[in-house]
Amino acid sequence: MNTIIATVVGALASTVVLVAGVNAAQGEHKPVSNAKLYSYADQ
Amino acid sequence: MRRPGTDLAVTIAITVLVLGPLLVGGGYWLVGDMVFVPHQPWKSAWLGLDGSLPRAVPMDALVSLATEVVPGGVVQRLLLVGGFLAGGLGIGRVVGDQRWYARAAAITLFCWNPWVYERLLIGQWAILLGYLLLPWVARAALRLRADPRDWGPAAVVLVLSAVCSPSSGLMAIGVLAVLSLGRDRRTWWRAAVLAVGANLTWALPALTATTARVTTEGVFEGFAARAESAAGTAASVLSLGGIWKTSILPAERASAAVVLLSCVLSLVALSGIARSGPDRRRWALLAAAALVLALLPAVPGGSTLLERLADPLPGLALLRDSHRYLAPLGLVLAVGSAHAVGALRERIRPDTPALWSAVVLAVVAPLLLLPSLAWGALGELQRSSYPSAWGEVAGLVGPDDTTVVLPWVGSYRGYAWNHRRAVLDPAPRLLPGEVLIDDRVLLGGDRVVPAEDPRVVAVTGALAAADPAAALRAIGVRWVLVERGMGDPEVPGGRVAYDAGGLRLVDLAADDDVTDVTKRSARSRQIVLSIGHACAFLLLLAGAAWILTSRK
Repeated sequence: MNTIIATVVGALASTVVLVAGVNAAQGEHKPVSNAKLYSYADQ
Repeated sequence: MRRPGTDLAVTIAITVLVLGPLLVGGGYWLVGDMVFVPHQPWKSAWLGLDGSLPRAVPMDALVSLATEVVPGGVVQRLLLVGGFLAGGLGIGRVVGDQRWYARAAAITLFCWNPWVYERLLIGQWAILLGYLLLPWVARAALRLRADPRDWGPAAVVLVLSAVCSPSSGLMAIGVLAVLSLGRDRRTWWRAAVLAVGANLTWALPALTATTARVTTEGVFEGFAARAESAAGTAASVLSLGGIWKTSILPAERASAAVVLLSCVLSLVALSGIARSGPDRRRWALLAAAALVLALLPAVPGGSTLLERLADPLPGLALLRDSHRYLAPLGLVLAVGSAHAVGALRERIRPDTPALWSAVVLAVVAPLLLLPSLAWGALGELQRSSYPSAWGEVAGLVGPDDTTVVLPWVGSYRGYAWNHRRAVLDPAPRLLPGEVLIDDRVLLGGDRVVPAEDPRVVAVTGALAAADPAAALRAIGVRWVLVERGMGDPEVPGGRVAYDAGGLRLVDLAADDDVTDVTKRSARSRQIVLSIGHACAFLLLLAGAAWILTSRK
């Protein structure tokens, strides 16, 4: 039982760390361009 | 069972992890609507006394007073750190009957979620403070229901919430109403008096504004919640994300897997609400109301319906960007998370110690699902310092002068010294006197929310006139401040009083006299507003005194 629980929790945790971590690491610094500066949704 | 030490430790850890870069050096976080300046001169507009539409009344007044004592950078740090500490310790108290790790789960989920990230990155720090006060509102509401004479805490938190922003004040009323009202009529009228008295501070200036008109056309659709990933809008909102401003989204929220896993966390937390005792229906109602409000403009026909209703009821403009009203869901999920962890703990037997790993996962899951919030949003929030030119220009402008800021295109700027981050123009807060900027909201595409201040409309006309300098003088404008590096606007002719550091200040009064059109709000209105502010202040003092005396 312990093995199953540890496997499930470990799989969940590693999935979250991998998917969220990799995506976050790929996020770039996004300076705003003059063209988009005044467009509220793009700032 | 409750040991405040562990709550404080977890809260401090979260606070340092989020705000760390701001705390280890000088400068400011200037992003979106988050504008702090070294010294914010006092203006009657900070209390709404000039007849303009109150946007940050009375928070601007308090910040202005604070910068008389300490620099604006310190004020920013105190407010943000204080807010996070209040939020973490507050939610710890709401679930104070739970074990420390269950409270830790509540603290992490409450202080570390997409709603917090998005409001911080959009710069709505005052609305974020209002959110972080919600646990104290919930506690006050539960106390008021238990004993209708116990009104002091409710008075204090309602006033503080109303100070943060009108929407924070309304959210606090909503939380108070859902959690406190019952069959006892004494609670009803006490809650009503407190709610009205606390919110007079912004409601009176809004109701009596003479030089502004509210526009609702297109705003509900423009500010509707949006899907961050392929998982859809509902999944985004259920996991406390889905803000309309797509450019500030954390990268991981674009992943459907992350959003869906966040939904799992939300569902686990909601399942915990079922175990939260006799108040579970009230918590569930609060969560449902927050979800409906946030999703309403996003469902087909929702924004049209709101627009039609807003025609006869302009007050509905407060529901613009209704995604902010998702905040109470964060409170409910945090409470549910604590109870879910408590339930999990009860299932741990000597032969299933591995379940402890699930408890640990519940505590750290909010952090793992949103790593982008760590350390100044992983560098998105960078400290900046004002070039000395800003202080020198502020020294040239008098408290009775009117200044127009160019370029006359929207009110957001991307200064090179601020890492080209879009930030609300700091000139109105930094310069003395009346400062006019183009307050149209450009929503992208062809959608533009027109200017709400007739003075701004008049400046638009003056700038298009054959002799813009004369036209500006005729409407009382003495100075034109040109912020360089963002286009090449046509500058009205006049004496250049300052030209350095990316700023050029043109004095229109050098060639001819400026017409005196000083905006004078009606005396009676000023008296009414002053009474409103005094009522809220007295309510705050009375509530604080009540709390202190009732502890004896």
